Amino acid sequence: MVAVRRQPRAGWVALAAGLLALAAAARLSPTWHPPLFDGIVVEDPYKYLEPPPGKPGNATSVSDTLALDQGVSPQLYSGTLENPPQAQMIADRDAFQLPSGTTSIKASIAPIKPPAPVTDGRISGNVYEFKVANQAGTDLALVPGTTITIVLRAPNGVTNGTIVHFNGTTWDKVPTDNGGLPDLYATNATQLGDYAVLVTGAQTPEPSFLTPVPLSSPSPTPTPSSGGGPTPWLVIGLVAAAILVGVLWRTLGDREP
Amino acid sequence: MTARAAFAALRSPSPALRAAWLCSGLAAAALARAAINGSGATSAFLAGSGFGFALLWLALGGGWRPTLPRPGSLVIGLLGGILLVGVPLVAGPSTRALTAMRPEPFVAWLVVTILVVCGEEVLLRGALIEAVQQASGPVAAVLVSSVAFALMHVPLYGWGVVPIDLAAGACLAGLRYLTGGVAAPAVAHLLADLATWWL
Repeated sequence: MVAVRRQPRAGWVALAAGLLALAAAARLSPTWHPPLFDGIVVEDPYKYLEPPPGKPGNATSVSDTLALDQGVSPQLYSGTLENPPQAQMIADRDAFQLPSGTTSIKASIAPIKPPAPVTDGRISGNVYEFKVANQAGTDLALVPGTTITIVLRAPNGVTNGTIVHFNGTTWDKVPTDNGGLPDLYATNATQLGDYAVLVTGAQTPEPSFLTPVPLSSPSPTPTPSSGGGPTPWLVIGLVAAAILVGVLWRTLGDREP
Repeated sequence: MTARAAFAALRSPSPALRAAWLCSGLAAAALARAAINGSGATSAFLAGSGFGFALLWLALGGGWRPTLPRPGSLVIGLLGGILLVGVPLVAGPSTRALTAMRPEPFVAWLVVTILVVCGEEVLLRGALIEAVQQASGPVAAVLVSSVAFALMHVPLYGWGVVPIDLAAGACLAGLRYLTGGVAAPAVAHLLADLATWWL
C-alpha cells in the first residue's frame, strides 16, 4: 500500500473550504451544536404526564426566576430535568418587552394535558406550556422581530416529528429543525404558549392524546435524571485498552512521511 | 461471508474495491453502534468502545499502519482543533440546546472518546483516504472521506448533523493532506470532541 504524502495545496484548499462550510452550517442552524458528535449519547426513556402501561411517568416541570440584566431581560435558558431535557426554551438578552416596574422575570415550562385534539396525525409525547412572566405575574411578550428557541424531545425513536403550536383554537405547524439528536426538535418561535411534537404517518407504540380535556396544573414533582453509571470493570477495561492501543501505536509505528 | 474472506477483501490490491469495503464496514459499525447504544450509560459506553475497536480493526485490515507523528503535526492539529471549536462558536447562534454530551464518569467518557476518535481517524483519514486517493485522486478522497464522516453519525444523531459534520470532515481531511499523517486530524478531532464537555 502506498502512503499518501503531504500535499499542502490540497490540504489548504480542503481546510479553507471546510472552514467556510463550517461557518455557513453553524450560521444556518437554529441552535448551537458542537462541531462534532462523538460523545456518548445517553438518552433517558421519555417520561409522560399520563404514562401508558409500562411507560415511565413523572414528567418534570421547571421554573426559573432571573434578575434583569441592566434593565432588560437577561439571556435565558430553561429546561426540564430529564436527560436530555424533554422541553427547553432559550432566549437572547433583551428578548422580552418589560412592563414598567419589572424587576425580575420567571420562566416556566410545564407538561399539560392537550388543550385540543389535532386534526392531522397525533401528538407524540407531552404538550408543554412555555411561559415567561414578571414578578407580578404579568405574561411577557417578545420584542417584535425577536424569537425564542423552543426545543422539544419526542419519545425515544420518534424521528418524523414536527413542532406544533396551539393558537387558542387549533394547532399550527411551525418550521422545525433538528435539535442535535434524532428525536430532538427545535424551532425559533415568535410567541410563547403551548407546544408539542406532531407525528403523521407511521405509528409508534405510545398513547394518542386525541381527546380534548380541560387544562390542569402541571406535574409538581421534578425527578432528577437517572442515567446510571458504568461499572468499575468497564472503566478499568477501557483504560487498559487505551493503553494497549497507545503502546501498539508507539512500537509498531514508523515516522510520519 | 466469513471474517477471513472479509479481511481478504479489505486487503484487495484494487484501491476502489478496498475503499468500497471500508465504507461498507464503516456503515455496518455505525448501524451496530446505534442499535446497541440503548438508553443507558453502560450500553452507550460499550457501544462507543466497540465502535472504536471495529474501526481500528477495519483500518488495520485495510492496510493502514501507524506512524510516529512529527511534533509539527501535533501543533497543526492543535490549531485545527481550535478552529473546529472556534468557528462555530463565533459564527453560530448563541442559543444552545442540550443533547446530553456529558455522561459520567468523565474518565470513562474520555477513554471512549479517545478510542472513537482514533478509530475514525485511522479509518477515514488513514485507510480510506489512501485507498480513494490511489483510485481517484485527492479531490475524491476529501469528498468521500467527508461524506462518510457525516453519514456515519446519522444513525446515532440524526440528519441534522450532516452539514456541520460534512464541513468538519473536509477540515480534517485538509489537515491530513497538510501533514501527511493522521496525527494532526486526530488531535484536532479529539480537541473538538473534548471541548463539548465544557461548552
